[in-house]
Amino acid sequence: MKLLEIHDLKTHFFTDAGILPSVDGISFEINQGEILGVVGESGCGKSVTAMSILRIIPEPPGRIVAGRILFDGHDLVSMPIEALRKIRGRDIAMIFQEPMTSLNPVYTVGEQLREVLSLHLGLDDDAARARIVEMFSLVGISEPAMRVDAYPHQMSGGMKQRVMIAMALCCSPRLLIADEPTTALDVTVQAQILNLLVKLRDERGLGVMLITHDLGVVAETCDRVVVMYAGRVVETACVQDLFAHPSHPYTVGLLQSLPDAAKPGSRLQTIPGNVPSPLNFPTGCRFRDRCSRASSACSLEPPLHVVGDGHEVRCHHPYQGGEHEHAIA
Amino acid sequence: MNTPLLDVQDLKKYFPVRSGLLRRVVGHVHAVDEISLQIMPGETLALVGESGCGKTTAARTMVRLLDADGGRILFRGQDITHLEGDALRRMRRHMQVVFQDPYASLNPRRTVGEIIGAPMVLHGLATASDVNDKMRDLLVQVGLQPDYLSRYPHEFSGGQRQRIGIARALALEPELVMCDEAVSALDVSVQAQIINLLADLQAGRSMSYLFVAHNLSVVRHVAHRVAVMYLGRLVEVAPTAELFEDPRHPYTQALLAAMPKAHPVRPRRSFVRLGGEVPSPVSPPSGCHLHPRCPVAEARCKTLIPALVAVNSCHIVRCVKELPRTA
Repeated sequence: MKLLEIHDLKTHFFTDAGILPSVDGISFEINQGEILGVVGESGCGKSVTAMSILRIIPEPPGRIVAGRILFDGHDLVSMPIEALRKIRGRDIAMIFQEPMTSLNPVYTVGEQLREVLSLHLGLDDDAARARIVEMFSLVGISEPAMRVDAYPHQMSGGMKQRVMIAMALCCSPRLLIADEPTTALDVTVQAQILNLLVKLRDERGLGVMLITHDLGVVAETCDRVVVMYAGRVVETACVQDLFAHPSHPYTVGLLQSLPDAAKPGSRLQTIPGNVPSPLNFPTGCRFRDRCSRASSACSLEPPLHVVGDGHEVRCHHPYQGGEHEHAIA
Repeated sequence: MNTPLLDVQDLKKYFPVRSGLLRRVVGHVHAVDEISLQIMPGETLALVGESGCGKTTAARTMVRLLDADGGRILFRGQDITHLEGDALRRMRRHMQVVFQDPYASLNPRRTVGEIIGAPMVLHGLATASDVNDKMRDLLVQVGLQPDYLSRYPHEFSGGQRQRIGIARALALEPELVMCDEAVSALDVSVQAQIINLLADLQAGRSMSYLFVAHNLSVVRHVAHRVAVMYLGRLVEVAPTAELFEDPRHPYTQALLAAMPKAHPVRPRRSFVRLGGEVPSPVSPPSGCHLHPRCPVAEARCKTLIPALVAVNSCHIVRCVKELPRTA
């Protein structure tokens, strides 16, 4: 069942230097009980997409200039802000990259969760406290009853990220937007947090939009993947297809440049050049300056090809029919 | 047997913990606790571990950016532990550093030419007349345009800045370069470019690298040997292939298990191999520091600090399971 549908979303930033088309006509959907990975390098628009869903783009300079975001059939873009406030935090929750700066240092973590519970569910203090303890044990916080009264500075980074997840989940949302939730954490703690997201998907049918730049995290947790480059979606596929038959030259380049893909000590494959600045994205295909398959046709907008079941790519010269199988040994 | 380029013996680095109104010293963090390591000429040694394990402090102490509180550091056989003043400055030429943050580690008010050229002139490796030619050569070697010399750091992307940082380190023709998370802040496609660059430069100049990193995929690719740290102590040192194929310490095993692999597998394996989190280094657990989190801990792990045991001539590990059985 489709939980969220994004249709042709455009979020632009209007700055003194010019218009930045950070998100420029993207479409994808998230199903119930599914972890959708959104991957791309810095500046590709993945965080701006997440912020657009909840309409927390700083305005000005940013603005959603076109597109629809349907949640349960209701358009979040055109919805009055009062109606959206009832959805934020209750039906759609978000966790951010920096657990260190996302919690208010002068309130206990319990007070910060209680606010959410009384606002959205109207729980009184006792009921809220019971609910918080339940949520803390769900996300793996040891001694949950004691931790309710702790201040953020008394907790480690991994513990604070668990508090953020508990806060995001305490109203039983149907969609969780997780923006690089484990980037600031150590690998052993990252593994614990990712395990938790998988468990919530399986046990509660939670839909998750997992934004990350780490293809290892994608391979291990996601069901489907959206690859973004320079404000556009370039490829959408289920996770097995994406890694086994990558189709867009950018996706192929990303997978090949991973150290995992190469023999230790050998030369890594690279993508030449750098990610273009949003101030001067190339016309047509935005990857063409860095692409080995580019031709004169690439100065025109690339068409959308369906290369497999649920596998779409936006490219003039996609890899097709197993042309790139076993690229990643 | 060759002499190691850098030979570190029982290195210690403590930081005082202050507390109360008078900021009295109430204890010490044993950030680096009796570490012994050797780096051979032309070798890449990786130092890995999670945040707070002391890997950066250890590396900085090894190249004399921090003063050691115990132990000895020998560079080509010469004791440099207590060098000061001019002697230390001359030694610095041979040991250079590439830092993690390509934005914070370059002076925004200096041009690329000033950043790279000043150390060359100071150390007498170039004169005012040939410094420009040498800098242009260097920029080409790190993959930048020679006419970038008059530009400022803000004009460059992260990957380009890291190339400038590498050029600055190489300007003095060092024998050892310490790379402190040098590729961690970069995007994947750019990270691959920088890893290749470091490999090319090493092959051309037979430099050694001390590579501090937390990304094990990168470490597996670049390092010849790997040293794993946990809360200030070395827990395992082995050649890279051997460490990844036959990790002996439970912590090394957990680190490898937690490392996300970039190919989807079915059925999905369960992630968690190690519960809890790294304890505060101010009051580390007694005995083996890992015992509260270790899935195979025994009663004696609470009190016994296991010695480093040789698995073979180049693989050492610190775990009671590996201690020789006594009758």
